[in-house]
Formats: sequence, structure tokens, C-alpha cells
Amino acid sequence: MMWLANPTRFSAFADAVLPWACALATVLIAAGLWQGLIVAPPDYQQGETVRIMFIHVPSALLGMGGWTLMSIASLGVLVWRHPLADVAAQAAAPLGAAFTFLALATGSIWGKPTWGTWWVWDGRLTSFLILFIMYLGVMGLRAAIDEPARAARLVAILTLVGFIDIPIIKFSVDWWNTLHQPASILRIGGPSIHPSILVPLIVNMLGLSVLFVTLLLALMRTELMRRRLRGLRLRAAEAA
Amino acid sequence: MLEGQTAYVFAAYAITALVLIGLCAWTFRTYRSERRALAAFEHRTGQDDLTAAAGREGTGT
Amino acid sequence: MIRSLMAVLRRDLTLAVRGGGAVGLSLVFFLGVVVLLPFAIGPDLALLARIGPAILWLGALLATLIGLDRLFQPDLEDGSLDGLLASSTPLSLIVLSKALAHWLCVGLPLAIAAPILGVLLNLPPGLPLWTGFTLLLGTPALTLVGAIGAALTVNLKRGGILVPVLVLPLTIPIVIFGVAATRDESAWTALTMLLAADLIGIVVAPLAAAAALRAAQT
Repeated sequence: MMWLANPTRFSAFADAVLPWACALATVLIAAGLWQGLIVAPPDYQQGETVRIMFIHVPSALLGMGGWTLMSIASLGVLVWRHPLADVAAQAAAPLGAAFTFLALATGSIWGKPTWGTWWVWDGRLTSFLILFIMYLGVMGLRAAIDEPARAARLVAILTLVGFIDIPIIKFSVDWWNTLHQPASILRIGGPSIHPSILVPLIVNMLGLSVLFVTLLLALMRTELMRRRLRGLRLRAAEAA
Repeated sequence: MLEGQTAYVFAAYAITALVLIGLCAWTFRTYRSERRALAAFEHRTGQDDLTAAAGREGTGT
Repeated sequence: MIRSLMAVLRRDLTLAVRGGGAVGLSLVFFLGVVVLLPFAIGPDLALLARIGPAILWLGALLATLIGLDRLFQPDLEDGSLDGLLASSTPLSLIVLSKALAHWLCVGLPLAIAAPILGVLLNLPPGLPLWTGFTLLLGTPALTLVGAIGAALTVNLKRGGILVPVLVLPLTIPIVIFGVAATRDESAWTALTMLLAADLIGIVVAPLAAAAALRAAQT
């Protein structure tokens, strides 16, 4: 983390790694599609619609993971003064928002044939929708503030305040007995899912996660270029 | 079993493909345009992105 | 230190009362929302009785949010924010003081007016007063959470529009618990959660708002 703190070194690292990351993401996503759509058998209860889970679960985890990443980055902005923290937070926001939206959309599409309803106002779905609104709020706040340093700090504060939603999402299915199923993977005692479903799930999870990291690196590199260009232009204007 | 299941599966994967491809396209486009803008500026001023930031700024204007 | 906090409280209260706008505006807005919804829904009295508490809570939320961007902006505009930042009193306590002033002028009157409007909404006997009580417990949390949004947007020209977006996700659980407290099955759990929201708000909101004010000023 500290080795990469230098923006120059990070930029060089990102430039070197990005082609490989793209390739890896493509391979894993292709493998995930093959596993999810062809290899995995239809569920004896849900039939073909179980294949939606292979997108829905990773998207939901990435949506929550994105906000967690942004929260750690916010600590980096406010507490540790890490030079790349705000760049990471800025890059992660649209990515996390997109995966949160996907989780909501695929969850809704999964819900209709499986439980007969597009939506239900239970604890987990409501707090997940709140997460999506918070993503929009964070991106809106950053867009509304002109000074980059001030925007970095204010967005960091908002991100940290909003982090309380993440444990709420996690535990809402335990606290309120509702439609959404309780945890079946990260449990004491190991996963309770059949391997024929677990393997495609993990492959898709890997694929989408690598995609997330790839896009994150690319967006961070782009933002570093944008800041560099702005700095150069300012200096040129001052010199003139 | 339930009817029209494949339609739901298709819809879910289609939306996912739309969103992810759009995300990748947007990322790639902004990356490329910033890269071009920075290269154009450096070409004019003679400064190289990485080496200038490494401490040799101010020279070669 | 207590004296300076009381001074801040007194100043904000005086400004609100003399300004004429804030106190009356929120109450009128509350009245407007609570009256408009039955117009939109229609004369189904049974339905109104069922969703009445939710209408009151929604109205209270919107009425609280409507003037919240003015919580810190007047201080920013006339320069007294710099004075508050420089004073020896902790900024978070000053924020708490201003939030208290806001609640006394907005949240408290709403909670008092709610039972009267509850009767208009055909709530069964006892429920209007009970809903007012839940609002009494819940509106402080709404004000405190709103203060965070107000502090984050203090130097934005049109920050008022952004405040509800920023604050809404945090207020939704408060509203959910507030309305749940009016239903028999989960009343006591919901009340406990409202109290918890108040306590968490009293601790977290001033700290977050103070940090935001400091970040906005540098």
C-alpha cells in the first residue's frame, strides 16, 4: 500500500498491469458464463432461474464491497492522508453504483418467477435500495463541489456516515425474518450450497471481481492523468 | 415447472451485459481521451508524464 | 463553555422567531402535506385511518428537511462561522446546540401539531396522541441527521436540493421505525430503535457535521 502511494509509481504499475487484468477478466467472465449457462444444472426447485443467482450474488457483494472500499479510502483521506485515497474513492463510486443497480435489477427479475413478486419492502431489499441512493448522493456531492481537496474531505465524511448501512444489509436477514434467504455461503460450518451450484457461483464471483478491479485501476489511472493535466495547465497558465 | 423461465434468465443476463459493456466502454473511452489530451499537452510543452512527475519538472519547456 | 452554548442556542432561537420564516414555514408545509394527501387519496376514511400515521411521519420528515440547508448557511454568509470555528467551545457541541434550536422551532411544533391533524385523518382514539409521541421521539433524530447534510452542503449555492438526497438514506430507517411504533405488534421494539437513533444521532451527527464544516471552511 505504501509502495504504491506515489502516484507516479502507481501510474506505471497500472499501465503495466491493465492489459493482463483485462485478459484475466475476459477469461474468467467467459468461464463464468460457460459454467453458469451451460454446465450448471437447473435447480430442482427453481429450475432455470437459478442461473440468475450467478450474477445477482456477486453483484450484491461487489456493491457492498465497493462502499467498503470507499470507506477505507475515506479513512485514507481523513486520517492517514494517503495521496491516492481520494482517487480510489472517486473511481470506486460509479463501479459500486453499477453493481448495486445490477443486484437490484437481477434480484427483481429473479424474484418474480421464484417468489411471485418483483419487489418486497423487507429489511435487506430496502437497505440495499438505500445503498444505491447513497451511491448517487456521493457522486452528486462530488460533482457539486468545485475544489478537489474540499470535495475529497466532504465525500469522505459522507461515505463514512453511510457505512452503517453495510452491516445493516448483512444482518437484516437475521434480524427480520422475511422473504430474502439467510446466509448460505459465509457460515460457520462451511457453505450449505450444493457444489454444482457453488462452483459456477465462485467462478462468476471471481470474474466479476477481477472486472471490478480492472475497471478500478483504469479509472484511477484516468483520474491521475486528469489531475496531472489540470496541474500542468494551471502551471502553464501561471507561467504565461 | 414454472413457465417462461428462460425469458427471465435472458432478461437478467441481457441487462447485465448492457450495464457491464456500457461500463467498460465508458471507462475505456475516458481513459483514451485523457491519455490523448495529456499526450497532446506534453507534445506541446515537451514534458513527459511519468518522468516529469518523478522530479525533472521545469526543464525542457 | 455552557454560557457560550446557551448563547448560540438563544441566538438561533431568536433568529428563527424574528426571521418569521422558519417556524411558520415548516408547520404550514406539514399542514399542506397532511391535507394534500387525503385529497389525492380520496375520501376512503378507513384507508386514511390505516395509513394516517405514515402520512404524519412523511409530512414531518419533509417539513424537517425543507429549511435544513439554512442551518449553517446564515453563519457562513455573515462570517460568524469563522468565529465559531475559532472559539474554544468544541464545534460539535455548537452543532448540537444549533440542532437543538432547530428541533425546538421545527420538530417539536410538528410533534405537537400532529395529534390535531391525526384527528383529521380519522385515526382511532388514542392513536393521534401516540403518533405525536413517536414523532416527539423521532424528530430529534431527523434534525440531527439533517444537520449532517446541511454541513456537507453549506457552501454550495443550490445545496438545498442536495441535502434531501444525501440525508434521505439515513432518514428512511427512522421513518420506518417511527411508523412501526404506531402499530401494536412491534411498538416497543420500534420505540427502542427510535431512542437508539436519537442517541446515535446525538453522538455521531455533531462530530460528522463539525468535521464537514471544518472541511468546508479550509
